[in-house]
Amino acid sequence: MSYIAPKDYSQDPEIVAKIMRTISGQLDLSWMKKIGERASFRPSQPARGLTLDDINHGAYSPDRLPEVVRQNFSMAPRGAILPEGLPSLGYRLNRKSDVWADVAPQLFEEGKSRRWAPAHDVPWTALAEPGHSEEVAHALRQLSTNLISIGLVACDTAALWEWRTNQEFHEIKYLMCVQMYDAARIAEAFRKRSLAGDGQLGVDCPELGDFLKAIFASDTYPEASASMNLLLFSWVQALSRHLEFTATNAADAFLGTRLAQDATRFIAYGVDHIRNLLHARPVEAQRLDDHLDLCENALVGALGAPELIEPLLILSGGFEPVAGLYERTVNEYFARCSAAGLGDRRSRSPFPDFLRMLRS
Amino acid sequence: MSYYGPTDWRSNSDLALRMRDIRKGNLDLGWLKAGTEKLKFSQENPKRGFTYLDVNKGSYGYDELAEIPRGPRGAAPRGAAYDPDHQADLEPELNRKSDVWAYKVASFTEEAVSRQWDATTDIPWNDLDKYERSEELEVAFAQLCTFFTEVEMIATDLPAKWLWRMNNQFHEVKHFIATQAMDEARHAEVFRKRVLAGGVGLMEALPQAEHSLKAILDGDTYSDASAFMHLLAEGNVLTMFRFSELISPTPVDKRIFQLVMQDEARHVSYGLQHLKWTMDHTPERKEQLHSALDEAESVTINQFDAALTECMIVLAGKGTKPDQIAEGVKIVGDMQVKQMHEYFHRLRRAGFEDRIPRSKFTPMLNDLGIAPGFIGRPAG
Repeated sequence: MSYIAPKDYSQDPEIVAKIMRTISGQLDLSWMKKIGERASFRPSQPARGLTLDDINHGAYSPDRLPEVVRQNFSMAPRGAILPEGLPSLGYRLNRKSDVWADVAPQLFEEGKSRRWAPAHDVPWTALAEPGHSEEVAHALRQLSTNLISIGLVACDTAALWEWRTNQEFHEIKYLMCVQMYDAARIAEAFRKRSLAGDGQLGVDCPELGDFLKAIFASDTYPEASASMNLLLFSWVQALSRHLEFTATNAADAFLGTRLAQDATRFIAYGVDHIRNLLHARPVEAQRLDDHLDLCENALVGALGAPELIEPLLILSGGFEPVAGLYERTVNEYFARCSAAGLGDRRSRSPFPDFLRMLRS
Repeated sequence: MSYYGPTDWRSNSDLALRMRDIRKGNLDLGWLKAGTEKLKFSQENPKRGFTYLDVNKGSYGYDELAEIPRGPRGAAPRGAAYDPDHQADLEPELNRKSDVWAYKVASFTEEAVSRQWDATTDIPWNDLDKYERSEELEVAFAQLCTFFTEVEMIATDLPAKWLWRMNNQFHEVKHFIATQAMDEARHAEVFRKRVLAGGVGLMEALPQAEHSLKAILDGDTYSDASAFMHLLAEGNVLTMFRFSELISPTPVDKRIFQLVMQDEARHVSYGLQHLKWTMDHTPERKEQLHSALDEAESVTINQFDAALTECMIVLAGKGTKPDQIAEGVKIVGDMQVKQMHEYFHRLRRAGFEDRIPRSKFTPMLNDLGIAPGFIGRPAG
């Protein structure tokens, strides 16, 4: 075991003595006087419940967090009294701008309140009469196979950074847990969609795998956030709206709607996080731009891969709706990059060339 | 960036040709001949919905997953067709089923998804004003909730630390771990909200408890860390939750403990079933687990912290007068013996009973003269 305590406490007579004192009723009780800032928060809107925003005041508020956390590397909650002797838990994300987004507490609340369970919330019986051809059924299974991969890697990516994030940013850690949960649900829901009825999975798309690995292997959390929340989920959100639009039964419409709702939370966090980061440290823009160049290149490969574009063509009934979907995805993504403070990425991105290639 | 991908698509003539073909309607359609298994899947029990258990068939199922599944190492889902030479390797480190698997894990995952709750709206926060609480009881409860807020996030961070290292073929386990991370974030949230709604606010953090948390996070293997966290630490916390429900100052607090208990019980069950799977399938790992638990039990003994134990005594005795403290000591002592008893019971159920005589708790309990002879007795 990596952590070896300074002594074997089972052999420590001091602990036995301490326990014996307590058993005999000799309590210390000095802890009762160690009270920090008093708090008695209540829901600001009773119907909405007690939200994180309702309790984020005074010493407990994230507004008081400095850009660089120097005082706490333990699991002590923000606002607690910090005694001597707290260990470091080895966090790597200790700058507020590395992770922070003002919208995170609300997104966490939304993630919980909009929960759904694929097992019983999706009207699976609607697939008994799907309202589409066998060819479209194959296409949907292939797209579902792709979405499973997306869910699996998005879950991994959120997990990879969550445990490295300082506890002072607990709202962000909570939101990362929502992301892990939501992403795992994407994989679950589309696995079940692909297998429901006379089911089977499709083929792994290597170009999609390359794109997902580029996100997963990001060197820094801001890079991972920009490429996953902004880029990947802009694509997932556009795709989910398309799935809902083309759905011919209640199950597929439900899945499209819920996927869009979940994807939107990823995007909202990503935009606010990157905007906050670039406001605090504009120097990071170059690094993010370089990373997005490479990830966008990988996404071009995936968008052009037969395992992705061809089922979309079959599902959509032709080329034009798919070209429109791709253009919409790219335009929305560029608008989000701009809103996040990355400026106009059109001049350096491979997307405009790809869209021209698609049309010409 | 650590991974660049093999192709620069901006100037790729193959892609340009493919797009031209697509515009003309000439599709490749190779993916239509996936060659994957075609099976019938349906809901066995419509009330329960369409679950992982319903899709546990053939090459898609987990029953047929071998101890060393020589399948994909990337993002390809289990059962999909894939090309081993053209997969982006995500370099998973946990590739043996016994590294992560637990009996009933798919059921635990389904249960977790269906039993999600919301600390914001499922706790009647405004009802706190209906119940009068003495200052000393509220202070004691604030200390207890500060402790729970502090420790619960370890059961988010530890699973997150290992989740991304697991091969995607074990997606049911990864999904379970994601639900656990969510559950524990919600626990930290609900205790933080309770302490900040009660009038006292957060109190002092506990260094000894933190050293235990660090020891959990630094486990050498996932199984070591799981034995410490799921079985020992969360097992102890589960007993504390039951006890805390009993001594809760208000019905609002009882509601909190009822909800967190059902989540915690699931996490402990996963840990037990993972340990059992390990004992049944890779008994050669026993010595490694013994060694991990030797250290885990030692740091757990060091968690005997005055603030934590005393706040429970004050709550259990309902005050700080000598007779109240005497009553509190008795109740908390019983609870702590129960923690050990239940830990040993779980070890026994997991097929690891030979841990009990070796446990660091055994001589300690004998030294203290607490419940002599209870060790080895079946729980009941």
